Amino acid sequence: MDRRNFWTQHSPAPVSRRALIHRMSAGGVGLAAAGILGCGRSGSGKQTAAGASGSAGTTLQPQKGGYLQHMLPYSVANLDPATTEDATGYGFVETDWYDLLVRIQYTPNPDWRILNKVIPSLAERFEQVDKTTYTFSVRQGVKFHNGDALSAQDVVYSYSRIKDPALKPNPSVVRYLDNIDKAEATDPYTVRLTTKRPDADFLANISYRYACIVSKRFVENGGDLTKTVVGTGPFKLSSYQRDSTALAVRNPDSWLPSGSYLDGIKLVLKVDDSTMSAAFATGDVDILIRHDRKQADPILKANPKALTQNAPADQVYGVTFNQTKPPFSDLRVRQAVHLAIDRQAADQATNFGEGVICGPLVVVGKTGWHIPVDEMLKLPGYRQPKAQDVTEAKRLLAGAGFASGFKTTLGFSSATESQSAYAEVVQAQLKQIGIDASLQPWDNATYTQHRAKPDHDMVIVSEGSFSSPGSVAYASFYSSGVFAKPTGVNDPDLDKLIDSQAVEFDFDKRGTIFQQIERWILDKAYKAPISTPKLVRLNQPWVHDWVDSKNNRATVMNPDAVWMSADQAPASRRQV
Amino acid sequence: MVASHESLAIFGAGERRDRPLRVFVWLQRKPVGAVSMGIIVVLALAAVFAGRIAPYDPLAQEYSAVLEAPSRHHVMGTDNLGRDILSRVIYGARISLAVGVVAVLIGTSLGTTIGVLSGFFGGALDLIIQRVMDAWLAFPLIIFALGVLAALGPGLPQTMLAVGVVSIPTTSRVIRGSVLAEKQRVYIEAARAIGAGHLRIMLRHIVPNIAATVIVLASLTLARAVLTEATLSFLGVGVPPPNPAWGSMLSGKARDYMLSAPWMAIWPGIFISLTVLSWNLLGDAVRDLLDPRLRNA
Repeated sequence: MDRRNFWTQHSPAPVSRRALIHRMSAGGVGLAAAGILGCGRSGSGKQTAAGASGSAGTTLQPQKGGYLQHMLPYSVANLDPATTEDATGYGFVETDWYDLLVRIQYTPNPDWRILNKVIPSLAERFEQVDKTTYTFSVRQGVKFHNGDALSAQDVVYSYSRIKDPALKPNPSVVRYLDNIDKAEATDPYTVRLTTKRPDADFLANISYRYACIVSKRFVENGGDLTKTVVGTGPFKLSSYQRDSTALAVRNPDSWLPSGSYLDGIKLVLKVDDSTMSAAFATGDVDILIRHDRKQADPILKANPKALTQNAPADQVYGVTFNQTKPPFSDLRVRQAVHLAIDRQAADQATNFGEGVICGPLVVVGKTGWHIPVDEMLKLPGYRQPKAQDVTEAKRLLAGAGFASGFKTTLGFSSATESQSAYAEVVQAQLKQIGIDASLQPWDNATYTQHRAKPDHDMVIVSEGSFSSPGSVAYASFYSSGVFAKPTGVNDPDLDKLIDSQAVEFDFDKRGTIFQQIERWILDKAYKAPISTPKLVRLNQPWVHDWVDSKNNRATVMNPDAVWMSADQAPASRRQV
Repeated sequence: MVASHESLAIFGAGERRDRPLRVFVWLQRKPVGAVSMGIIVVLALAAVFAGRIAPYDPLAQEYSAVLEAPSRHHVMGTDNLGRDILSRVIYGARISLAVGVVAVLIGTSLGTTIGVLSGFFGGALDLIIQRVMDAWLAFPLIIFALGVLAALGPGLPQTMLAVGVVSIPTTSRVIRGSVLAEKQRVYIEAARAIGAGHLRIMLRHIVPNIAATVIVLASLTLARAVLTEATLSFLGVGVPPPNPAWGSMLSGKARDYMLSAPWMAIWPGIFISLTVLSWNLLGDAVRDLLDPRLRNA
């Protein structure tokens, strides 16, 4: 077996004001009383009788037809895949309407993140020539939605434009494509990409939804991608009304042999979370992700035919530190924080005990790539009961000169699911060792800015990965990383370890290196990891083969492969 | 709204012996106002004595009791971190009333000062001040408060200031109108005739005679302040967690668990509604009491 090339082997009433107030208050009190009396039970709805996802192992044959109904809690003003705010959202702009050069093989089962297998897409073949050079044969005969023919020049243009500072690309897009040093069209249908450094995750990184291929001719002729979608994706944009609705219809000229199964996807934008839950319960939305069982149970009670699947999210919640200044420049203080956190209790609070206690980088489940669970649960900080860790934490603080504790701050993103809950739990647990952390909620943009600057003390993070821990390692623990550098993580030995995993293309050997990285991060207390929630994925029984992104958002990673049982789907799915 | 000399009979110009009787008569005539006052008094006492009344520490997390329905042990249930909601509602009253009272003090004192100066002197000063107030009033109240908090950052003192500041233009407008009416009266002319200066006239004659207006305005402003604070906390920019502000109790996880644990949102919602309604109704009742045209309505 050729072990040098890992990737070639393996790839969503007249009444007075006074009287009116009196009547409304009487009615309101009555309603509230009825609500309280009628709701005097715990939210323990039962799981659907179907249990596992209907997508798994189905023997049904895919059918053409139907419109998937998809709701999103936000809307975007910008449809350009390189700059859209949707890059950090559900990603519907990228996945529904655009294609990539190569893509991940999204399978309902097993979890696609375990192997993260890269397969052809707009490139019908690809090859790793050496450690930093890749060639791609661009598929011929592919047309953009406006009729422009796809060529190697479009691919080169798509990657190059992201480096243009005038474009102001979304940092999430830049992060995954940052390792591209040069993109060249060696002939009309061949692209050569050269990377700055060897990276075993390179092909996976350009397989994520961020590396969309756009039409060079369209942009150079004055086309505005922020307002118009011109991709090669399985769907074309039929209509887009910001903050209202959008419609994606099947692309009749899709390069896929059978095109998409769905006639289209109907998007309803800016929908409140609780409205989405209610809509799923009544069958008005087809796919949904809920953070935990307590949120999902009432929905399943109202809609017992819905299908569910649980899986750990693609992020590890934890605490990172600003090590550029005291007190967190002191290893003993960081270790004290790590020891004081009761991970099992935190998981009970944030995921009702159904989450997964994790190391700092790799979500538990990618066996061989993270510290073995039975070993991890015996480590300081993870072991139970906590008394020993708390005593040790106090001793460390005293040794660092903080016997009486100290005041500090703990920032978090108020827009990211569960970060506030983790923050409140950590704050309460740190109090027992004398650390008084006041919480600082930030919106998403402010949160990212603070993380990239040394102007905070501690911050809750939700990163770490199942699918691609290497990119997280580079960003958060490598000395020049976008989050590591400003917060004082400067560890040449750790850098060497991170570099060594990037050039190790053997799956098992690479996993061993990640275990070493995790142990190193824990020893140096660069991060105090906590847990990963297990998300509950729900879909209507007439929806099949949907693959989600394994985060809190119901992204459709494989819109071309999702299909609907026409006989089960309601009439509303058969028409626009 | 007309403030009159007769209205002072309730507050100080009448016989002291008659005052309890007058209050009793008022309570009988304005039962809604009386009930509202009672509710406000109860909330205020709960806020002051929260430490003695609340059965649990509002910040204490009990992970074995998360999302518990109302029961004997937790009368209003618990939230997603196992915190007792009754205790958090009681301590939340402290935050809401504190923000309300301080915001009213800021808004009413500054608004009254600006309104009195603007109305009394008139002319160019009045023109300039009122144009500034016009521009100020053009901003939606919440947007303005958000702007103030964006500059100052979240926190309790900052929220008090933001909520207080947004009530200044409305207060100044109403007070200005009252001052314009008062300064035409004969007794003001008489005071000028005997040589009283501007400051003396404003402080000794005008302000006491618009006191009723100020009082009513304060009660209505306090209602609005409570609602504004709840809105800011709901949006995540007011009082930061884990402080039990009613607005922040309504947002976040309370919305996520609306179907499985609706008590997380219902109780703070009830108390916000009750508090705002009570202050509004109390303000209405006091206004009726002080306005001779509405006193017998």
